[in-house]
Amino acid sequence: MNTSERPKASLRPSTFARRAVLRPGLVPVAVVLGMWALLPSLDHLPVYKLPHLAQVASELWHLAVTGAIFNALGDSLSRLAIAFVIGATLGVAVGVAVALSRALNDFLMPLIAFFNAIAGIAWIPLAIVWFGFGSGPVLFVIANNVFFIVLYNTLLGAERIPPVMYDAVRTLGGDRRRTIVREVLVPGAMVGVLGGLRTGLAFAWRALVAVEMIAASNGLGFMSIQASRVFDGSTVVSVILVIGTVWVLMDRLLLRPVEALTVRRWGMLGGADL
Amino acid sequence: MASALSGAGRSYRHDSLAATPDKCTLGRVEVKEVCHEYLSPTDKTPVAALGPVSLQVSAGEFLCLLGPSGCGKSTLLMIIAGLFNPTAGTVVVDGVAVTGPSRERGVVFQDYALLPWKTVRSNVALGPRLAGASRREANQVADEFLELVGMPQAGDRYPHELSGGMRQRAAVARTLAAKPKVLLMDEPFAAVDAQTRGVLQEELIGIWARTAQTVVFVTHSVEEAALLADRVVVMSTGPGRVQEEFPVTLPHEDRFSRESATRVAEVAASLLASVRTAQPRRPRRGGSWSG
Repeated sequence: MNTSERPKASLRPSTFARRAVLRPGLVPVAVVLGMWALLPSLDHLPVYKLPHLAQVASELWHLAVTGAIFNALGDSLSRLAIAFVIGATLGVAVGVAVALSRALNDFLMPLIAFFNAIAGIAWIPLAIVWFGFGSGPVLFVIANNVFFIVLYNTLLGAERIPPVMYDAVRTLGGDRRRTIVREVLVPGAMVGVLGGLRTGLAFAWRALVAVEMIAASNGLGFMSIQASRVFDGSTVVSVILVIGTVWVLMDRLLLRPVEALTVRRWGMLGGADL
Repeated sequence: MASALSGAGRSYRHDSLAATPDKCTLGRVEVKEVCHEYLSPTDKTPVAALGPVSLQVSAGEFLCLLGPSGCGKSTLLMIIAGLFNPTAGTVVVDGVAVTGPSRERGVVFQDYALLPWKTVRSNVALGPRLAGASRREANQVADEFLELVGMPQAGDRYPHELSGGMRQRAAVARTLAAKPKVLLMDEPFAAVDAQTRGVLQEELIGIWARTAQTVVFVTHSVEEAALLADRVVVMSTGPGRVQEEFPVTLPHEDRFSRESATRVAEVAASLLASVRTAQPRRPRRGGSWSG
């Protein structure tokens, strides 16, 4: 599922990556902001349908000064972190176990295929019944989401390891299962694992806001849905801006550096050359 | 070049790279009536791919398995390695039957099989590490073997940063560093360009002259077999069998010189004649290979 997100086998992936980090798309952002500023004067768009840029800016400033947006962001991010760590850890662990055991594989794969197809948010009603309103259902739904995405991608990564890698380690004296897991399975599945973590985090961040709108009483999603009930479009758009910005920062500061230290350094991205 | 790495209680012993007298008595391979069948992917009936094949490789001998594709020469090599189980028959190395892979039988694979997530040094150090050497000892051994294959500077690089020829050198170093008694090579130079191949072949003979290991080398190139082997076993297809054996008596140190090119070519020509008769008949319409 994540594999389509991998950069195509370009001739110089490293140059591409470097440029993307150094120039974080300021020009296109400026163009969109400019269009947004001009739009209401061109066509008499009512403010309740799209708040003006200036209104949103002042609302965002207000939310920042009062600390409201940071409180909401903190609530959402701590939920994301907890749910992500739980889901990802279980996902990698079960993925490695399933990759190792034929019997486990035969037993679990149909279940995994089924649950993987269910969007995490489909669990919201039941999760509310189980855990009540608050963090419980949010954590459950997000961890569930992350778990299946990471598990599925870990399995894909493990499947793509060329069998000759195992043969090589076995003929060098690595005959114990533990050695095979440590030397081949885990590092070899890394492309899949990292792809799964990235997709999992992206999905989790999107879903988190949706679940908070329905099941929580704080966080960014709650802030947004509360504002919409009093037709406060500026706050809704402010939350959207924060959600997007935070994702871009997570990707640049967290995911890409990890990738650069592992699979990119090993030459396993952009046409794995094993 | 001897170093003090023989820790008590460790199974890994690092000693001189040069041949020692007792080494020449180790690494005797006997292939006894080995057969291999696989299940046809279409109708799940067993298809005989190999055998029965019997052959002996003396300790320290350089044996080439030569034959057209589909003659089972790589399958036979993987059976000797212990990576495939034969359907019938046994392989015995120094009196002990092969039951699975072991570091006594090192394999150099055609597509290098270097681990991309390890540096070249860590790849070469893997054999010593798995045998119980400390990281420092193992790295030291790795550097010695990288020097032996002529790439002492490449230890910190990752496999994907190397050319095909360099990768195969690294793969040879990795296999040798595990100190196998028998070196099994599966068309190791088939994927590199002709010029590099020539260099690698000559280097391999140089290394073999020092380590005196038994080598079983699979190739489909008659020239390569004529350049490298003490003895060439030509195999035929459907199922793979030993067709003919050719001892090559030219001294190894002379084979790469311009003067002996003609004599090597003569050996290659007689090998080619044998391989030609071993070629599979063209499948008739309907695809049957028997007949």
